[in-house]
Amino acid sequence: MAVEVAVVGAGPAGLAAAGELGAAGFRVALIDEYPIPGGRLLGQRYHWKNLVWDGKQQAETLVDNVRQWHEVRWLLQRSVYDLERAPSGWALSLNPGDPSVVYAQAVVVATGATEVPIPLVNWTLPGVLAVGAAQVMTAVYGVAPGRRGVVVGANPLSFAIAEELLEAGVKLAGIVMAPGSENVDVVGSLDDQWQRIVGLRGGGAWPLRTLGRYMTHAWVRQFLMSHAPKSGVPIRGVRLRPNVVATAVEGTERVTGIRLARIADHDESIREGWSEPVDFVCVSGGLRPVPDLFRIARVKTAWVPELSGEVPVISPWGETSQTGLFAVGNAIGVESALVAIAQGHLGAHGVTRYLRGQSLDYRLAEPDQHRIQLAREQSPIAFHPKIGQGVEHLRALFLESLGAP
Amino acid sequence: MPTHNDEVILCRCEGITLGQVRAAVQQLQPTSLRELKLVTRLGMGMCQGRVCRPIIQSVGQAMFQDRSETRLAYQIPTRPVSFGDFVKADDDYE
Ligand SMILES: Cc1cc2nc3c(=O)[nH]c(=O)nc-3n(C[C@H](O)[C@H](O)[C@H](O)COP(=O)(O)OP(=O)(O)OC[C@H]3O[C@@H](n4cnc5c(N)ncnc54)[C@H](O)[C@@H]3O)c2cc1C
Repeated sequence: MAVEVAVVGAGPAGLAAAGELGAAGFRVALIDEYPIPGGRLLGQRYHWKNLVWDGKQQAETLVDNVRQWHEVRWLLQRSVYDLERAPSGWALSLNPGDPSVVYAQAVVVATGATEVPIPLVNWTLPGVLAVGAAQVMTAVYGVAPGRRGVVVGANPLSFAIAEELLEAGVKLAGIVMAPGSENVDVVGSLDDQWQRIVGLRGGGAWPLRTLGRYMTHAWVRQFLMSHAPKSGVPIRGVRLRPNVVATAVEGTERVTGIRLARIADHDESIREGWSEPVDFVCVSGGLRPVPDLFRIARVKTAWVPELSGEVPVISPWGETSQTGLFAVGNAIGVESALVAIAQGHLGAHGVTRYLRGQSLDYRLAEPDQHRIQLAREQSPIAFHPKIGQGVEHLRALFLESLGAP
Repeated sequence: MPTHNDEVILCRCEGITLGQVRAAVQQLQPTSLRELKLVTRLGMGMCQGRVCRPIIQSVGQAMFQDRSETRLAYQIPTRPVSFGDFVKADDDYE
């Protein structure tokens, strides 16, 4: 199959891009490995400014918009597993085949982010799942993951999804902290974990922002967090237990409980341990952009902590270091769905200019960049308190790369 | 926060525990995360690191002071592919 543009990923970013490209009259292949378009929007549902943010409905609106353009071909339930230069632009390998290869003059990669797991003793037992899987079960399929669970790991996603679970009538023993050790340290020390949720907007975490002004001082944060009651502090119905760490999952055939420990104030050593009954455990280590297709295509990437991981160095039009290969959405940094949509529009405009041989001067991207910034400010959820710094860092890397051959 | 013990599984596909990793480091003395991966099969199972990569990277940082989070390579195919499809893609390739 040969098209002008291949869009990989039909989440909010890819759908927004495909809609714009369809409207501009391009022949587009929109590829996603999941049977239903919408990406991670499908599971999102929470209260926001007295309204309900209904991701499923947002996804339907985006999908309907794409469906009106007949030049957009939908290729669902197919994974892109290779991305290579071809004489006409790019060749994408699909599995299952039919077509097994898609040729495109330009590509938009909108493959999103993945969850970071938290290793626990016995975490291979049935009943342990990623917090995002619990979200999909509950909000997309209407299946409760259990009767009473616990979320291990505190981050914006934990709060948003805990709220969704409670609303679905599932009971929670709260959000407890993730363990670490000298050899395995996925989410950092307790204070690293606290810092990440203090001052954040979004999900159920807003009271932390109010307190957050004071909690940016290390000693205030450490004092308040380590002296919280063992049962936790209620944050919009969800109990955050900042000085309780999960040490093991309990059960033989499946999850029957969680082993917890209270941490001493001064040195983060264990003070006491006990068990609580639960029938499911959500591990929640946060989100990371997935760089696999960029690395395969030899795109220049950088590790940017504020954007949650390894991201491609991109121009203000969303073009990577490989001409004709554009990147949008969570694949270039973990942010909310509103930002992903705005990035999808910008990427489509970049591709349009590229295919029409128009200037990709980065100053011309200002209006679109401004819309992304607005979306960022209006988002119901922010995944890192210093997103702006990450975006600036990425822009600096791009400008630096202009100088280098 | 000394709360991980030797029985915790780091790589679910291959069932590799922290204890096995510590033992391999002592006995075989790998000098890099890549060498550790080759002697233990850490991250080399069905998921090809799609689940465990962040865990393995944190082990690399802690054990080899390997600060480069991007060091481990990505290989094609980035998803499991049947041999039939692989051959078909090759035939269709122009
Ligand atoms: C579990 C989870 C929960 C989240 N919850 C929230 C939330 O509550 N609120 C919020 O604002 N944000 C949330 N986010 C952030 C969310 O990712 C963004 O809001 C938004 O969905 C990002 O849009 P995107 O289009 O960039 O990526 P996604 O929505 O992730 O879409 C990417 C799409 O690409 C497809 N894909 C990926 N790789 C391939 C491939 N190789 N071949 C074919 N198809 C591929 C996937 O199937 C997916 O449909 C969540 C993210 C995750 C991972």
